[in-house]
Amino acid sequence: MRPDMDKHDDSLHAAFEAILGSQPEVPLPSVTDAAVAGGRRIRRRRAALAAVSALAVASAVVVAVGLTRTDTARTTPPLAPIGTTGPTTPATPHPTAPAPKNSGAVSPFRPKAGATPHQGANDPNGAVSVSGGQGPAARRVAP
Amino acid sequence: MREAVREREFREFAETRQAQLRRSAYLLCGDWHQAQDLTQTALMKLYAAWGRVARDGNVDAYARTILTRTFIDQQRKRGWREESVSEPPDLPSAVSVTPELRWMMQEALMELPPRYRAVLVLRFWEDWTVDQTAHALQVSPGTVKSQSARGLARLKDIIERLTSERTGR
Repeated sequence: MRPDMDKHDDSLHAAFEAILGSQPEVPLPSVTDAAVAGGRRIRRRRAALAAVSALAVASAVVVAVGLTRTDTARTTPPLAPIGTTGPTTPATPHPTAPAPKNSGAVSPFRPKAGATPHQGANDPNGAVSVSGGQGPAARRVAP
Repeated sequence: MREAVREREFREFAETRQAQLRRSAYLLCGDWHQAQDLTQTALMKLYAAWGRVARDGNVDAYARTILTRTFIDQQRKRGWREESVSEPPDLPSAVSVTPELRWMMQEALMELPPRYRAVLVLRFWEDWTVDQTAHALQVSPGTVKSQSARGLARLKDIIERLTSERTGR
């Protein structure tokens, strides 16, 4: 291809020169001032765009950092020991309902098996004790 | 201060080179007023990037690259689509330029697709290498070679057609 292309080099260059030579160049004013003004405009626009982009990036970083801090502030549950099936429950103690007065008191007398529940006559709260069964109070105390 | 130096350097360049740039633009678009607009746009873009371009050197080549890309972009926006050529034609023989051929050359050049025209102007008017042309047009060297060959072939065909039309009259 190259030798053929070389042949074209001179003839085509001459043809281009002929095209330009045959056309009287129209007297046109200088475009330098307009080019400088336009170039400045382009640069100002670019600078403004860069400032807006930088602001957007900075805002995004601030938001991202804020979100990350919120995440780390949360207490993470402890990891389950190796070999267990799942994570352990949080170590926070379960809130227990306050036990009614005397209801949690351990009776020195062990109720007989098969005894029916009865309302204690001396119990001002009317607590029911389950005789012979494992009531809630008894269950709490029983080992 | 820095801005003033920058502007002075650019003005010196623009004043000395704009006529040459306008001539190249004329070969691309075929109209002096369009060529003037094209030159102004190219110089405007050049001034916007003047600091970097002046540091890198070879401002002249950069200006021509901007000019050619601006021309192609403008043509693309006007809806020009390159026609696909299934089989690249054989290379034509050398075109001998006679006065009669001058106007025909211009007619033929303007009938070429803008990208072919740009390749031919850069390769054969600016005397750029295939690699330089490829870089300026953001295509591969292979594309430049094939478009040069197809552009020349089409140019020859158009000139032959115009000649036959003229002699047949």
